[in-house]
Amino acid sequence: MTEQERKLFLSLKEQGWFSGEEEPEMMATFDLSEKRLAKFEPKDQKKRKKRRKTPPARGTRLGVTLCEGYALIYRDSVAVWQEGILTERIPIGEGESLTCEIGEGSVSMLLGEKVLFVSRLKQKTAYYLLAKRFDDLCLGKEVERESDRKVKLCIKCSRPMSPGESGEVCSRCRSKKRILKQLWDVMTGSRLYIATSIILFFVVTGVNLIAPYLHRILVDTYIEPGYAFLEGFAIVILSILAANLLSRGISIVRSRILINASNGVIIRLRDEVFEKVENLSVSNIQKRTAGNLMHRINNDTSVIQNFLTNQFSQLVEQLLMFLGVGVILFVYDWKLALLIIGPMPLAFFLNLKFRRRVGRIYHTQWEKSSQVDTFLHDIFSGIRVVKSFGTEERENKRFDALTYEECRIRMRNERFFAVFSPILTFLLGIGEIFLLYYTGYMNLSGDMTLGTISMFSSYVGLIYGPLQFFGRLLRSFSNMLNSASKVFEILDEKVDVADTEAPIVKPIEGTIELKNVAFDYDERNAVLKNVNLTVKPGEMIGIVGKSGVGKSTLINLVMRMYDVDEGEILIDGINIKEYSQESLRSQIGAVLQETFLFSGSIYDNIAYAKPNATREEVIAAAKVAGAHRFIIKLPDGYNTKVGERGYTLSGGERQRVTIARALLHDPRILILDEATSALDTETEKQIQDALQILIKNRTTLAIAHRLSTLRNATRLIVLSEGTIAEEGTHEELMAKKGMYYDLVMAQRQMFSTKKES
Amino acid sequence: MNNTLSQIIEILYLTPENSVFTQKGDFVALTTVQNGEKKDHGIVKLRRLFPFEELWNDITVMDASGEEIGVIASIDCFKEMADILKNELERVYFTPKISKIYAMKDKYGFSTWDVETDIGRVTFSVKDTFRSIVSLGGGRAIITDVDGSRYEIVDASKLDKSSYKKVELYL
Repeated sequence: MTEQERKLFLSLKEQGWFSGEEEPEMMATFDLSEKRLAKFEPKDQKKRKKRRKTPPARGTRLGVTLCEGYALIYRDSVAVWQEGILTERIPIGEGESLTCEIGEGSVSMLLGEKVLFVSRLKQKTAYYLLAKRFDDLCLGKEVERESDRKVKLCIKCSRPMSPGESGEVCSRCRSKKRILKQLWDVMTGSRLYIATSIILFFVVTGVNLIAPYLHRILVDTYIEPGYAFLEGFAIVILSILAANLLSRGISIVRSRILINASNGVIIRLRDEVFEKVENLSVSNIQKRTAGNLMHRINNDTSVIQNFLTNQFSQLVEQLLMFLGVGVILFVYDWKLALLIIGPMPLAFFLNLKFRRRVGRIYHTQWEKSSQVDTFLHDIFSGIRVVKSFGTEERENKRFDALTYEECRIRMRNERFFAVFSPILTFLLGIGEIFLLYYTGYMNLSGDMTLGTISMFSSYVGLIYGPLQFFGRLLRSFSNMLNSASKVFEILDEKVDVADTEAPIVKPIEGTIELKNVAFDYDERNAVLKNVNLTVKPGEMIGIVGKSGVGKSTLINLVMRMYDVDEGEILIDGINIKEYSQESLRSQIGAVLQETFLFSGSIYDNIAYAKPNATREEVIAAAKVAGAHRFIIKLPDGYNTKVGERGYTLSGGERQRVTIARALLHDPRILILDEATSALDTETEKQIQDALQILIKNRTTLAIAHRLSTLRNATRLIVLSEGTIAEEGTHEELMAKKGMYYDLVMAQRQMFSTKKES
Repeated sequence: MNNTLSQIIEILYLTPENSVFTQKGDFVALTTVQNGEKKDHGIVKLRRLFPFEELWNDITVMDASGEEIGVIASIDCFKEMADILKNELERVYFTPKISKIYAMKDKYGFSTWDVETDIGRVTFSVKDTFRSIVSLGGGRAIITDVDGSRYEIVDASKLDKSSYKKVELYL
């Protein structure tokens, strides 16, 4: 029993559930009841039945209802509890095992042909793992599975975390304080700049606060009928001018410092996010689309930058101004100050009341905008497919629908702010009317001079700036928090294929051993089951089998793109998890089905595998791969740009460049996944012959559908349904007349039909 | 080079010892001597392997059918024959060098240029300006016009201020 299950079991037992039950081996939660009345009547149904005149007959199907149910799984039986009542105890016979069946909207746990309990789909992963754990239990294996970590619930709201969510809590429950703290941590290198700019804010605010005081002196002392003291008048005017100039001058310096600081923060943040994404495993990265990741790295960091550059500076400035003016107003006339600040609590309450809604608004807007980015990235990456199927019109419509939806959400949000902001501004500014009445009354009654009124008006003008700013702050702050939470979600992600504390860095010989390896991508169907294979250094192993049997998965596991769920993979007798990933992959060269080339020159793409390679080496690798022949005919030779802003290579040319890249890498283990599939037979043969010399003394794993490609393999393995069905040399397997024989015969027949036609 | 690659591939380097280039009409002909055996390849084509980086080094020599005969590591080794080879390469890679830009107007990505080059004042048009200017670092850039003709800015920082301002954005 896991710790989480034990806690749940004990707490329910305290509430009066499970009387007489011992602690089970495993425990499952379910929330649907498909039982018939005769067997089970939930408590509330019983009450309802009493009210009915004619209760339904026993055995009547109650239909699917929600219920609170738990199943206690023992080695020999399952006890099904619903609404605090034991509804069934089903014995498990020798050799029987639990299976999980995923339906449309529900998931069932089966024992043979019997349905034990049913739940909504959110439990699918848990049930799948439960069935696995039960098998392990019967086999006497260690029950805790590596993939247990894949089932993740938010520790705050207990909702299953959606794909892509990481950390302990889901994005809904992520603490705002924590996000701000993380943001503060990112500012480490720029804190001195920020502190300097805050000090300058103090200076600017101080200077700004002097100006109204000077205004009062000007009006009360010098602007009096018949009074002519021009020298003093000029001094005050000059002082006001000087205060203004000083304030603007310092503001310029402060803005420059802050822009430098915020840019520094954003560069660091972007670098950190990019580095993090690079370090995540392939499965982690694939949880999100490329468009979504780009949106986070570009847009969200820009939103944070904008907030730090524009809003943060104003926040400090306005806060200081608000406090300074507030104190002055209270010192001069506390009644007046109260009149001005009086409506603020109401505005504050409004802000609090709508805080969640505004947060939700920005979250929805973010999702919609991210969907548009993802769509654009998808379509532009797959533009050939779109064009070849002539679906431009359909994609136009989809794009229109997405942008319309995003626009609709924006409009709805803007409509909200169009009402919300003026109300807030009105509430914050209502004190001005009281002020007019009060100062007018005081002046008429002779208790306040014109100079003092002028000073108060100036201060009130100053304090309304901050008040209105705070009215707008909720909007920009919520937007920033939403973006920051998306960025930190990536930074908080746990690297699931991580190096150990002291990873091994050493040259490898090339022995590969797979021991009882099992792997699945989505906890639904096992891709590989109990695979055992030993490859000696220098051997070439051909992997064949139908599409989708796990050939590419097998080599991905050897490259440690994913970690195995069960069993282990050893290279030179050491588990690959012990090796430094960088060291391991630098000794494995792969030519994959996806012939990806980076933007840059052909030379850069080949030399990518070995940045310090000499030109001679690059040319030699290109020659072996058959790429040199077409490169020299290009006007720019090896300097030809490929990818974006460059020359478009054909499929075969791309494949030859990627082969050259792998050859230059000079790896101990060479992986060829349909490496020559895009080449004509003649070119393929030339490259195969060259490869034959190259793979001598290095371990090679090769996948090919064209079986003639594997004629030089030392051994062949045939994968079927996730396991190795056949193993041996070409001759041995042909003599066996099994799956391999069938595949070869099918291909021969296909070729002969082609020739005839 | 890693040993295995060198085992498979033998790049024939053409040197004054194993090859003789001669002028044949307006073109270049090659005769090689390998293992005491003389072979006349007739008129050959010269192409730069790294046209953006090397002007007179790493030159591939192909026969009339486009098959590579060998590579010239450095033309300067050929001494007397070097001029023949350089002339041929300059003919193939005709790239006027821009020394001054009088005018450059970019409208919706289509630009017209009026420039002073080492062959005189020329005007040309460039489609999709950003994509047609390849910046090679160190201020060097190659501009390809609508017809495929190339113009080179050897060092943008050495252009006069007014010229530099016109191309700054694209480098």
